[in-house]
Amino acid sequence: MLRFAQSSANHMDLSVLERQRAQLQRLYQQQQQSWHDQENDCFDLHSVVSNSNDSSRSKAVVPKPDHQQCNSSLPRKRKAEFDVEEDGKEKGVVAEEEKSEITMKTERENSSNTCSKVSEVQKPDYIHVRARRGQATDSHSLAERARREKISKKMKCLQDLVPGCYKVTGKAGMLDEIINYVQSLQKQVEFLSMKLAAINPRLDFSIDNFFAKEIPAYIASLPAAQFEAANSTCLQYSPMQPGPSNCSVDIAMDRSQMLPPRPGTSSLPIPEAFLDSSCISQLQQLSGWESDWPSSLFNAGFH
Amino acid sequence: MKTANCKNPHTNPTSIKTRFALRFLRAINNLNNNNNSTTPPLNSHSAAADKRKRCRAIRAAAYASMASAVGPNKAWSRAVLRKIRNRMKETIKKSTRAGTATVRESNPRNELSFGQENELRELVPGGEAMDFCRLLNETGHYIQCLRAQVQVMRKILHYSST
Repeated sequence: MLRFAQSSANHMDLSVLERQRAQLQRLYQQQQQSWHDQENDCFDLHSVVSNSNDSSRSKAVVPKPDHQQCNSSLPRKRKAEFDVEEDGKEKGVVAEEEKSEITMKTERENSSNTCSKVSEVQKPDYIHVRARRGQATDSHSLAERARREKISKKMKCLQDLVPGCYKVTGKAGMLDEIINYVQSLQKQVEFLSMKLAAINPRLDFSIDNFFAKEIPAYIASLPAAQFEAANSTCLQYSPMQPGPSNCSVDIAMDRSQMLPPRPGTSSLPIPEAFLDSSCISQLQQLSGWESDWPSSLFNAGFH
Repeated sequence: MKTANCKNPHTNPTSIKTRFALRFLRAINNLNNNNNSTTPPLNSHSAAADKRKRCRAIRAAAYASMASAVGPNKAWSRAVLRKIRNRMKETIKKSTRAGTATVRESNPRNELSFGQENELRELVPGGEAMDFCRLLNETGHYIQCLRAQVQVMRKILHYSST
């Protein structure tokens, strides 16, 4: 670096940009020579870098066979730095070049000194990001850009969830909508629980009645193809012995809206029609967890 | 678990609704049984207080049932269950327990205003200890579950009042 200082002192009249460019070119040529000699050495700039692991470092060093137009041993970071310099932008990339796990694929025009394309590294644990023309290619901004894209993708998903969010475009506006929606949902829960608290002391809650009333609604919502099957089979339930259930079974015969049992050959229990005919195994799992659920369901006044 | 032709029960909204409904109704029944065993309120003042307590209990039961129906797969459900467990331990031990330290990851490069993000973190349970990206994920799932919760509670209210 001392040499650079000396040479830069000689070119005091040059502009800053030209000086930087000269430095970079010198550096590049120097490193090119050193690369020929020692393949696995870390050059000066890399010494500034904090390398996370040695293996990844050596990956960057290994020459790629696809490099036809340029020196095969040129690392991508170096190229990025050079390309940035080619753009004529003054960025502070000379000294700081941090080792990142992001491989960059930059597209630049052909020039005598630089290559146009860098082939992508086929490493499974790398995030492949394309740096667009005219944008910064250092690892920080690339990571930042990847993060921003991830966030905007998630915001789009949230936009579908929250009703009325499609009008808002900005991130801040959408966040406001999301916050309002969550708050309104929580307030609804509170309001409903207040109402439930008000009515509940009067009647003893029965789970079976709830599910019983739910079944006609669910059956109606099933597609027509399944409806026939559900109709013919769902009402034949195997009599289960009343197991110990910790829910109070309120056998309200007058309020029972269960369809009368019909003789059927299938043994599909009611909950299957209740849930979905495609979720049979799910139900089996569920009845494995909650052993008293089938019994409580079948207990509802069907005697 | 045979999931060949079934949706994942943790993400299938129908199954979550069912599991939530089951747990919630059971919890309400437990509450009712416990309340029936105690003596009825003597004056209106304590009745109002009882009603408020009951409302809070039902609301807590709703969130607890939803969190347990979702399972430990999501960070927000884990946070809710953890809070409930801590609260239960507090009432059992009757000792003051220091609040659980939550690590707030700082995002210095976040271009959104901190006010909104913090608000969202406060709303979603367990939101303090996540980065923004994960917070958005959890918010999406939380919104879905809240919606299902509201629908089921409305149905329960409807059926019990008719």
